[in-house]
Amino acid sequence: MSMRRDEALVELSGVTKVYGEGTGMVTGLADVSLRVGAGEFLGIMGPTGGGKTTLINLIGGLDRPTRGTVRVADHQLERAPEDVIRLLRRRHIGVVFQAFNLLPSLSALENVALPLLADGLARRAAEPRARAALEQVHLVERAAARPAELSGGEQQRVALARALIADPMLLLADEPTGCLDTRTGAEMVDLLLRAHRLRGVTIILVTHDERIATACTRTVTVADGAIVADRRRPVGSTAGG
Amino acid sequence: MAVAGHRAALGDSRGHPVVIIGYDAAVSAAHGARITVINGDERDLLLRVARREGVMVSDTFSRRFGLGPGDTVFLSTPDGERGFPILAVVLDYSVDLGTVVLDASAYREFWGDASVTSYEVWAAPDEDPRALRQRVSERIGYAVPVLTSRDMRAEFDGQLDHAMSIAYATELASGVIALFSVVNFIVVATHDRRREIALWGAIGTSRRTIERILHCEACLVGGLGGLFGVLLGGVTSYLVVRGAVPLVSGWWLEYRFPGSAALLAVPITIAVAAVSAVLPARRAARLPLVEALGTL
Ligand SMILES: Nc1ncnc2c1ncn2[C@@H]1O[C@H](COP(=O)(O)OP(=O)(O)O)[C@@H](O)[C@H]1O
Ligand SMILES: [Mg+2]
Repeated sequence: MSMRRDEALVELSGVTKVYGEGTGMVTGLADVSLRVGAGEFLGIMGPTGGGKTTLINLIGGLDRPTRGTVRVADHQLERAPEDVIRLLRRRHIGVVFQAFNLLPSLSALENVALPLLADGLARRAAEPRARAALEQVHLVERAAARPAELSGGEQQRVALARALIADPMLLLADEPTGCLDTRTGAEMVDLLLRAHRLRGVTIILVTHDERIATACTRTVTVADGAIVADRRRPVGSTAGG
Repeated sequence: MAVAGHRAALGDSRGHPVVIIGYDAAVSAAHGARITVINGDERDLLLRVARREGVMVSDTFSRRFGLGPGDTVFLSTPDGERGFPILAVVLDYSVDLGTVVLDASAYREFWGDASVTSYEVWAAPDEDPRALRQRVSERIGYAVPVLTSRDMRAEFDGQLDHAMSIAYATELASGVIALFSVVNFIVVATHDRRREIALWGAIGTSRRTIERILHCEACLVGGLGGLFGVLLGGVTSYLVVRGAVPLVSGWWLEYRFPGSAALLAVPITIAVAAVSAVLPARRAARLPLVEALGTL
């Protein structure tokens, strides 16, 4: 991934996303522009239905904008072929959803190894790396467990290990602690912060939780499909930093 | 050329009707007549019958009266009841009543009946059976049917095929139904797993890889289904041939596993599954991700 130094890692300009057609039309985002630099830990906040998920899906190339442009690194996602976008996600973007992140029929270890296997890596080569990734989320002893045998917090940690296994430059997380209690949620945030600090991965995280937001280097508030606030924290004030 | 004369007549065993066959055992044995022995010692069986050491009974008789080798069957003769030791139980589909086969000379002597029901003619090794048949027909007159053993077997086979034609129709129908259910299974399976398949896409699995995975799964399902079907079909057909058919018709058929058909069944089901997976897999791989992942 080549990038000029002054260029942002993620750049949205004039992005509008409209769902449905005719009378059933719903605007998810309206004319949103946003730049996210490499190394940022960006929190996206705002009321339910405001457009946070829409925003993160467009950045991850899971969906395409109705109007406007979305650039990640040197890819223009609004016009990139689907297979190129998938390759980008496979190698450079990790995603963690609020729930249902894991394939129920696979073990934790296999779930974590999935992006490597999907990239054509042999099982033999993928498994040690998956084991190491599980170790980083303190779950290596649960490697053989199926998702149904894991707690909600454990499942999210497995999802995080999977999102990080390919050593991505960007991690997208849509309310990853939304289904967790305060304590397991805090554990998850600690792991995200560590990944940010130690790997330098850029993180864009949707959250409702003010305490999590204080850990971010920057927070953006999205409401009614528009960015209504954009606050940067002074360098050095990052919690846990 | 050699000729054996056999007699079949309705007889009586302690008040039960049975078929008694006066069998030209000596001539038949000399010409290598084949008899399928189900139970009992088959060594020199025909010669022992010819020497009047005992009789053979059909499997239907054996089952009907619960008698086998070592037992004695009692038959009414014009001079009163007479016992015959049973040497062997043999295969004979001809009548459900059950048959008792004794030597023709013994039958003639005990029943005082010298008539003949059928003649068995053996052709010399260099003789054409069709020409022989023609000669025999000309000599005895066309009122009496003369069949070569090949014709006779063909006629039996035809009757059996006719009896089985319903089974073949059922087979065809179930084949078609099975085919549809394979297609249906794969369509439903991929539809039920929309979210899972979308998750593969979300973590960056290419559409081609997803299609390939679904194809492999379909082939696996098809192969397992075919294998399972062959095993289940093998067991069921064995039970039908050896259990239900004898019970219903009195026919004791030899069971033969249709190896080549079974061998074909597995690749066919794999092919059907693979073909029926093509479109569902294609559609699944092209699912709109956000929609398929649902509200996240
Ligand atoms: N797939 C969809 N189809 C139709 N409307 C949608 C869809 N996804 C989101 N929306 C609508 O777009 C708006 C923004 O939704 P979303 O991005 O999910 O908000 P948030 O994540 O902030 O709760 C909402 O009004 C929502 O109803
Ligand atoms: Mg949302």
